[in-house]
Amino acid sequence: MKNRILRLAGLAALAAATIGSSGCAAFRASTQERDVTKTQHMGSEYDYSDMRKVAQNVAGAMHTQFLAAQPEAPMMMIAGVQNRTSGYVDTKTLTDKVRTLLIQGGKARFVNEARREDLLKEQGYSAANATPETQVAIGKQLGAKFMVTGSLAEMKEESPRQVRVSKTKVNYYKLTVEVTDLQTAEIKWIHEEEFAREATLPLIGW
Amino acid sequence: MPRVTPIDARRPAAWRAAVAAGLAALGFSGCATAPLEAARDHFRRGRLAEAETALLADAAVQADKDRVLVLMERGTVRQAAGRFDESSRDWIAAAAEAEKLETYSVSKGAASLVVNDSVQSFRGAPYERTLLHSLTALNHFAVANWDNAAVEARRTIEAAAAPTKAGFPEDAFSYYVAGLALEMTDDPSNAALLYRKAAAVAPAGILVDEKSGRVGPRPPAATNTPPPALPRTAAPAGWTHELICFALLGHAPPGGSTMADRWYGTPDAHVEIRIGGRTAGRSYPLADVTRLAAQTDARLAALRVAKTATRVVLKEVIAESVAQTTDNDALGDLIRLVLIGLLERPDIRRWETLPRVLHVARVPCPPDLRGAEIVVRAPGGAELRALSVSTPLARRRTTWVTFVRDLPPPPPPPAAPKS
Repeated sequence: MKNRILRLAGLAALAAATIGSSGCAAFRASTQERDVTKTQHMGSEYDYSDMRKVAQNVAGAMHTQFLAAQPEAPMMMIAGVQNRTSGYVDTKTLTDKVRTLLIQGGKARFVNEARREDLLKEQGYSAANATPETQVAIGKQLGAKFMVTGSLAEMKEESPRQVRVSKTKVNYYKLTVEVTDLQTAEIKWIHEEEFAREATLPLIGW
Repeated sequence: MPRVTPIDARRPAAWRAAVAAGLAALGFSGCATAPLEAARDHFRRGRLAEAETALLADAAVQADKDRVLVLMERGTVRQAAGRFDESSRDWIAAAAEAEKLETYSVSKGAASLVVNDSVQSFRGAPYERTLLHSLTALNHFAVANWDNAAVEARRTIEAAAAPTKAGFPEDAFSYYVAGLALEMTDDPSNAALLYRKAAAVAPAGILVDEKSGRVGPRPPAATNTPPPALPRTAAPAGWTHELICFALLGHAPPGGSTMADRWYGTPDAHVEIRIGGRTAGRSYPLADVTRLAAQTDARLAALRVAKTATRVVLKEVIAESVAQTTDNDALGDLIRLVLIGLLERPDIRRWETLPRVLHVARVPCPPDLRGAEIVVRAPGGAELRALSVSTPLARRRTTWVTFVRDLPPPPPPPAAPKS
């Protein structure tokens, strides 16, 4: 009996020493690079993988279905995507990504509507202080022909209250993007991206 | 018959085990009580900087099981100080932490069965978690971030519809704030739905018009016919816009106060809105935190009694078995004293910097509104105090939104010594 206890204690000590000397990763703080191009989700909520995928799909669809039919790269502005979800989603990141892809594709041009105040301020400063040969001309900004707007909507479902050790959540998202002709107010192009994801969360933990 | 305690080899080990158990229990019961109490006291006296300092103390910041409570209290202090973005960050973090606590901790649950309920992490009562969203929405109103206010509106709806919320009280104020957030983001049908919900749970005698969002006295009706629409208050020519003012009056009852009938009194004081020296209208109460706390306590009473009885029995069994195993009555009594006499206490943690009564006024105002005077009036109409409000004041189209927390003015700085 005594030998058995001693043997068990010895095994426990050996296991502890092994974990201690090997530095079990679960007990250490660590940092590692992640490949942002790989899809990875930690939960059912909208995340960066979704943002990247949706932005690429929207830019691709706009490129092939709308911009390809334009005689020349049109001047556009992005008024924003309305967040209609129950989460703090930075929709500006999404529209920035779409704009980057479109400009890189060379089929669309954009005015910098978010920095208009800064532009006017800098133009005013330039007119007052810059040398004549480097001054920018006032009233030469380009007007946008199309406005890009949209909305991100969400619907949630949760498993009902019952005897259970985990709960299942399903989140459905729908992004609608439309391009409106600023002169006629006609919606010239519209596109939807939708996806849903299910996640299971434990109701009991240590 | 008195027991003779023999001296044997097992006793030192038993003593050590008992002392270790006692220390572990005391360790489990440690919390951020001191900084929280200090902060609340400063807050009630209008000393906001001191209140925030207390909540930034190490004991408060590192309090694991009171983390949600510390964030709730700090958010209130920062909101009252006019630091709306920081307040929102605290409350959003508090909501995220509270959501994580949905997963039941077996270790803390077991500890709560041998110590007390205070060893479990504070998650907030359902009404507190709902108010977390509506007060965050007020912060977003203050900085004219209507989309984020609508996010909180949707979270309010989710919190109110959660299956675990069944049987707990609902508050009309949160529904109203959510309705306004959706109205401001061009979602009138859902706004009307929320105004209707607010009307359904509003205090007796208060009517919320689902179409216009106006709040006023409910006319006496003999039948169940829908109430008539509330007319626009008479206003001077040119007052084409509307001002919605949320008035947060008084202080929520401190944790541990007896939720007896005396707390149930009808919300009495109200505020009168004056613009440019003219009376624009008055406020109406939509939620009384004291009532919400009392109804929550009533809902949980049976559960708490059952758990306390189970815990006391378990503690008695532990004390008795230690006494029998060690053949030492004194040790058993000591363990009984520690487990039942010292550690057995109710969990009285509560979000105490909440206001007591939450009012809403929706009154006509001029388009170029610069500020308003908020006059707090007693039920008889006597003027209690007047507050001048110029910030926060946010506008979207023809609607202005502001809110005010009725706190005593901060004490004047000490006079410089005469030379």
